[in-house]
Amino acid sequence: MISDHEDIGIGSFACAFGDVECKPDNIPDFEALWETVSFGTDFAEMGCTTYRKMSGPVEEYVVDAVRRTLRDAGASAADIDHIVFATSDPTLARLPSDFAGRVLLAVGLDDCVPHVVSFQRCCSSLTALRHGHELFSDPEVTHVVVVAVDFVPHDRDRVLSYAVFGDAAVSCLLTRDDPGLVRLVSCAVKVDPDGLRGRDSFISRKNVADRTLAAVLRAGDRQLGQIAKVFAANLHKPLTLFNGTSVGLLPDTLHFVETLAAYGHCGNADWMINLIDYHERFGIRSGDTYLAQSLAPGFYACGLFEGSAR
Amino acid sequence: MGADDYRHKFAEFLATQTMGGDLTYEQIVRAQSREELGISSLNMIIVLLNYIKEYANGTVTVRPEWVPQLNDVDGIVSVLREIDASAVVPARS
Repeated sequence: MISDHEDIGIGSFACAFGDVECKPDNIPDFEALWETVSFGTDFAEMGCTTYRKMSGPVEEYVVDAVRRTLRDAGASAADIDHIVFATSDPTLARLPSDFAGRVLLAVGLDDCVPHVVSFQRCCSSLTALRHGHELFSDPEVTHVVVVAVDFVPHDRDRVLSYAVFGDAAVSCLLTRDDPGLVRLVSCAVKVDPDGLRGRDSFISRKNVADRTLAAVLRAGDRQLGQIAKVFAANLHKPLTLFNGTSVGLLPDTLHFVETLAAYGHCGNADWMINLIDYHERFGIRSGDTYLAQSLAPGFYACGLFEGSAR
Repeated sequence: MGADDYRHKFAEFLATQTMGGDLTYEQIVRAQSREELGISSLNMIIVLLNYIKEYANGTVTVRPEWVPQLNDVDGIVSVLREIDASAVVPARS
């Protein structure tokens, strides 16, 4: 997909992490749990020191993030035409059936149509962003909120062979005729059928990553070397470094180390968390090209962004 | 060093790693695939990154063309040879 709407700015990102800070090694039976999924690997090398847990209902964190997004943008609830929720497949199954209605009522989104994008595991939020972008094909649409949310109710389920999961809700606002912080250049998600069958390999994972990255670069008319920074998925540190370099991305272009240490892998929200963290530390630069990268067994997604003139 | 020497070097290096201590040189010489050695993807990546740290002082970056070679032992040995050949610092013997 290449962006047909160059006048759509994306900005006012806001994070609502779980309110309880926890350490992975305080999870009951952590050592046995880690041994089961890691086959003798030293957990200290994985890069996750703490994660955040939501102690209250998930919609409270979503409402907090959306309110902060609106406040940052100077937008009112009445301005928002659509809200697109993105979540991984397991979280979708955990959301209450009236989740969207509760969020709309709490924020006061009285003239706003809710959507949900899922079934692409941790790649769902990049597709949600693309969907939110496409809603602007209706000329009457001026504001779309995109929210990525993921959480894990049971701590033992947080520890997997590829990541330690944390809880977070992250939102951003797409606005017509506003530069925002970035604009979407191109976006793609592709499937690894071996991964869907639980038989993914180095070859199948590299194949889907190569195809996806090539698609966004081709659609965005960019070269790999033009990417200033990569907002990676917060898998275990060695995996994230390997996944980046295996498709030709240089290790020093990957931004994830600090957020991985503090928050772990927040499902489909990672790339947004890393974009925010990078902007707070260094600043998104006008005209620079940025890559958002998400992956999960069976899926790989990329989004190419350009820093907006501000 | 020839391919057999590199199998030996791979065996010695695995013995220094937390996940490879139980593997014998004989097992590694006989093995065709990484799966036979019980080395998971995560373990293989850590072994590779640790090897680069140890023998190339971290000066070598994983190359995309190495990735498909990491499923079988001949391929892994070939990658280790390339890491040594690419190292900016002299490889440790």
